[in-house]
Amino acid sequence: MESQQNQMNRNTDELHSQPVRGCSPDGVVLIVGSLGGFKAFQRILASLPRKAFQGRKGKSVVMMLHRSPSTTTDLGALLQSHCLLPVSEPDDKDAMVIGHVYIAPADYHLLLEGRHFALSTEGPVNHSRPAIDPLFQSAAFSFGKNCLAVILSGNSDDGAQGAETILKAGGDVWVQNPNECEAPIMPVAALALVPSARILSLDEITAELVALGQATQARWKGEGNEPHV
Amino acid sequence: MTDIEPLINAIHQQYGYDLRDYARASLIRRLSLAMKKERLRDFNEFQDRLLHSPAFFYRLLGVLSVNVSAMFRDPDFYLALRRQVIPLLRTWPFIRIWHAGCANGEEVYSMAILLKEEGLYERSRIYATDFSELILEQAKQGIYSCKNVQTYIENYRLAGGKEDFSCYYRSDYDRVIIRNELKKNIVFAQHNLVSDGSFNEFNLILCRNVMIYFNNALKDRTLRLLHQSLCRFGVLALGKKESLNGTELGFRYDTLAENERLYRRIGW
Repeated sequence: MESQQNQMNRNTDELHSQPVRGCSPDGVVLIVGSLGGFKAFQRILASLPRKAFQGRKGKSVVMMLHRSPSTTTDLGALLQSHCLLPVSEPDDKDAMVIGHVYIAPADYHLLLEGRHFALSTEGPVNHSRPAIDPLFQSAAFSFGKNCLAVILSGNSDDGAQGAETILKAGGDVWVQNPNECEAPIMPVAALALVPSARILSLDEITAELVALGQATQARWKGEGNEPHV
Repeated sequence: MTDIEPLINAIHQQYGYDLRDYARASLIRRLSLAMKKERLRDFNEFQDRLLHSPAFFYRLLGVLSVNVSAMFRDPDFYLALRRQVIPLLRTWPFIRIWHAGCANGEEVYSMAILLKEEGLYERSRIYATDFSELILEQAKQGIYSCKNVQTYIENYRLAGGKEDFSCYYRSDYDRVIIRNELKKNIVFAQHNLVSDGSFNEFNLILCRNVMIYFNNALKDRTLRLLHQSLCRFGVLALGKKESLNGTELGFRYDTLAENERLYRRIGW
């Protein structure tokens, strides 16, 4: 099934002479953070317009925040109050719905298995569960170039290796400008392994995400037998 | 990128362990980790080692069945067990519990402590099974690093523990050993959910964070096996992020606690 999907993406890419990374309608946006990431999550979610991400040409957003295993706070509900798109913590084997924002649950690793979620209770990676590297690596495997990773503020080097894998698979990596991060270690570590990543301020990240959503919608309008949304 | 199918077939044919219906994302992850740990160059070399070294395979099995848990992991779950399931268990003269996929036994001993404090341990029997003999041996011994004890105590308190947690283990240098009186009504046995059938009828079955490693077909098959092994009005406990929603047997269960994924069998 995965190879079929890749095949499909390849075909659609050939239709467009100018490749725009992460700009296919069945792509996924991964946004990750650690210390200081929660505030950034709130700001990004508050500015995601429903129109650009929902519908047949929309995107799914998966967010992961390093969090204590014993925490019982429902992060999904907390973030939902900032966001127009539906936000929730996925169950194991849930299908990824377009236009939906997913938050990684506490004390599990979150993997992407095609367009489904898979959870794992193997030990902490980079001292953390959930950890970002496994998420990125599985996303690169399942989505190839149709995934965009956004690395925000954090006090750990988790995510750097995964970002490298995503870039190798043809995906795109954005990193929050370390100068404005509450904790710059995570973006800096990612940049050390992936120097070609785009460095953006939080405002630019939100603006670019909106633009990306809109561009995907516009690019696919009226293409072939795709109906308008 | 990585083609693990030949590897899976080799394991199946040589050792009889069927990993074909395991969820791919985490299987690939774990096999890659094992490959790195054993300093193998690629999956070809991996397969070579696999076919010629049974010791290597059993080490690998240990890696595949690793579940890093803790005693009273998810305190809320044990609180719900205490409040909502124990009263149901009390209604049976003899209580049989199946802990499917018990890993290193931390959650099994948590269950034993809970039963003891509720005065049910003497008329209970816990069958704790796992597919890896290696990890089952660890579970049987009940020896854990004392680094974890702080977490255990905190979880125990949050789970509504009634005693001083230290009365359930004795310390030995940097390890803690579960007391024998908690072990006496626990039967540890090898059982593979993929290939083995039902072996008794239970009043409570715990299968937590096991089916997350299976694909949908195997999950359905496992749920059928658990269903066959559960008495009527028996209770099924799944992991915090697993659900009966959308499964073929879902309608035969009543939800006891939505958030803690406790279900009660009501239909045939």
